[in-house]
Amino acid sequence: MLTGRNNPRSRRTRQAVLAAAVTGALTLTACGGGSSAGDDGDVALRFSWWGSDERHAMTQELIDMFEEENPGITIEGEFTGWDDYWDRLATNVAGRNTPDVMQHEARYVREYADRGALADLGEFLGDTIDTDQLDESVASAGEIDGSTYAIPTGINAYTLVVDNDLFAEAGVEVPDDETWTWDDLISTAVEVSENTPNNVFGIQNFGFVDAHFEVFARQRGESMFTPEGDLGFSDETLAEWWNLIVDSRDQGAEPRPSLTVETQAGGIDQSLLATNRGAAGFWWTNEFPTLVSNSGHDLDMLRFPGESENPGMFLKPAMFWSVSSQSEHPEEAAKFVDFLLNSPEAAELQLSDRGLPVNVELREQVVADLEPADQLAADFLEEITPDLSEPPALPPQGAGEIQTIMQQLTEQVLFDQISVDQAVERFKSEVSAAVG
Amino acid sequence: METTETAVAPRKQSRGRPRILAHTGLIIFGLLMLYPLIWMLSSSFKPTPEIFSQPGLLSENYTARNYGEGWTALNQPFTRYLLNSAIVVGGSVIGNLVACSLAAYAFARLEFRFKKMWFAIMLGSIMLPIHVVIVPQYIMFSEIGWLNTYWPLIVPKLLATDAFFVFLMVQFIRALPRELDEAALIDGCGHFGIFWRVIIPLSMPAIATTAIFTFIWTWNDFFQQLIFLTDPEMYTVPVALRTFVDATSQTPWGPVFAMSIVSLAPVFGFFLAGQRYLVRGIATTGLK
Repeated sequence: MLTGRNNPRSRRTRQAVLAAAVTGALTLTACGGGSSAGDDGDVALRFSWWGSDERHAMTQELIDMFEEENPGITIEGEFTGWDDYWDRLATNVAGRNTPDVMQHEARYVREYADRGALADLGEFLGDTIDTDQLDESVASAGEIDGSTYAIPTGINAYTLVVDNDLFAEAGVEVPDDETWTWDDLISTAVEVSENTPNNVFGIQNFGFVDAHFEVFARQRGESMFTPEGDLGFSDETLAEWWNLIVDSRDQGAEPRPSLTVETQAGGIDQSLLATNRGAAGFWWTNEFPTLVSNSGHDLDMLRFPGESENPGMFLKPAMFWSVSSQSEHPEEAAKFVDFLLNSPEAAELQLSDRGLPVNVELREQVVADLEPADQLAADFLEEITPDLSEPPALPPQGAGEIQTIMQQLTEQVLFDQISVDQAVERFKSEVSAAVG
Repeated sequence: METTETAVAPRKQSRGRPRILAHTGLIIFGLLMLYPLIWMLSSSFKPTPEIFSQPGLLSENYTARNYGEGWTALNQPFTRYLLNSAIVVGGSVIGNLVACSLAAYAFARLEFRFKKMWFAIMLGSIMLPIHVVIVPQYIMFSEIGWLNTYWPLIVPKLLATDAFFVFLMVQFIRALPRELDEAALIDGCGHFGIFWRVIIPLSMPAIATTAIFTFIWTWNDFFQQLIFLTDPEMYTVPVALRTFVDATSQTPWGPVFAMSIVSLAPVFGFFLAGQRYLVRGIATTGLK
């Protein structure tokens, strides 16, 4: 879901601002709360999310729908893109002016919860917020020490997307994803690179997204973080992973490093798959439709290599809903969250925009209405779900920086500026510092 | 006569060729520097899927649809954002012109206690990054109840907080001959009289520079406007443009580029109109 092109500096700033939030919150005891009641006893809630124009328009419709069903509650939407969202939210929290309902993301939930910005939704569960139909495997993904600070909006999974047309053009058979290994992945990609024109490659580099390593580590019984928030992988696993990337580069499965970095910076629209320059790449299932519409080719999703022995793929909560701890109307805010999660009309509008609904009943209902590409993604998710491993625990504070650290180190490894062993050492120390 | 003609003609010729060479060189260099802008302009007329799959300048499918789509894609028509930006920019320009010139006059012409220290503190404030002051400012404005209004963006300008412009004008005013002030004093002017009748008319280049830079910087400013304006109806152009672009989903690049071109137009026009003052202002204040 995240291509993570956030520069390290803005990340740092964001953290600094959030840190200032604590100080600000401590020194200023009683400044204006998040929301206020209107003149005629109406409840006004502020609701904030990130996304691009289509989501903004759709969410505004959701708000209108909710307001119609619930006279007396008005909701003001506040929205912007991903990067700016966190800058603004950090400042809002610092100024004790947090929106009542927020769209959240796994890497930030703990950070905001630990700083006391999020309300414990426990008292509303099963009451205002109906949990009967929520997918058990992910419903509790927003829990920290028994308190529910966030509820998933929907699910997706990290997966390998392949371009059937390019495979056919190269005369290479798409491998059987139930049995293949990581070596098969590289050798297949090399074969595609060799049998296609020079500007078409087997696979896009996969060293830039931390979720990829998460799957790789899980296949070895490890993980990025332990539930306690410590590093959960061994040096060997990380070294093995980076060596795989070096192999992929050396054997020509992927483009030269300069092109890799350039493509990476371009995001999904300019990825190898989207521009027909690559036959495979790792993406989130909810990004699949974008790839299909951009490439115009016949695309398909495969399981990760090496899943047969010990599965490492997992369902990820696409986003979360959270309520501010300073909200003056937590009950109404919870009601709105329930609407977003459990209302059939809301699901019909949102479809898979915030991941496939966590509400299992609605998920089935929604799948029929999806665009063909979304439907393919939904079917694929359903097909692999029985074999998946548990979703990871919420990462510790500062986890938002991991992606940046990984990107920088992978770049340096690709350009041979540091050895794989050095990269492993630096990754461990930098991540420890970030979450410490 | 003859000798002078023959002497002049070859000199002209020998100068002419390098000049043509220099100009072609400069034009090529200029086009190279302009390429990203030209590319954006051309992309704004292409269908979105074509922008990155065929990144060249030319296309067979040129269309103006992006402009229509972009104009109405967000929850307010783009006119609204342009108007909002105009309010903020207008207020900021007026605020900076009034406040910075007054402050500059004081620093350049008046004697008061601890003047040097105040001046140093003012210059020091240039070095404060926005991220340091944004949280205290946010808390302050939130308590006054000014969030989601344009006051946090305009009122500080009325307090001469843009130290750069104060400094620019101080340098300019210091270079004006004091004899003119004294002449005005003898004619019966007070400080405001001197300021208004002597200093301001002579400081036009510096004032124009301030106006142009304030315009461009405020028009392009994003962070403050993002933080203080959360109501979509209050969004300014840069904030509105960013709501198109999201790293986690598909960006409608065609409309984004189209609206970017639209939002560049006022800056471009203002710069074109004020460019000669700008160059003069910088040259005469000795700032480089």
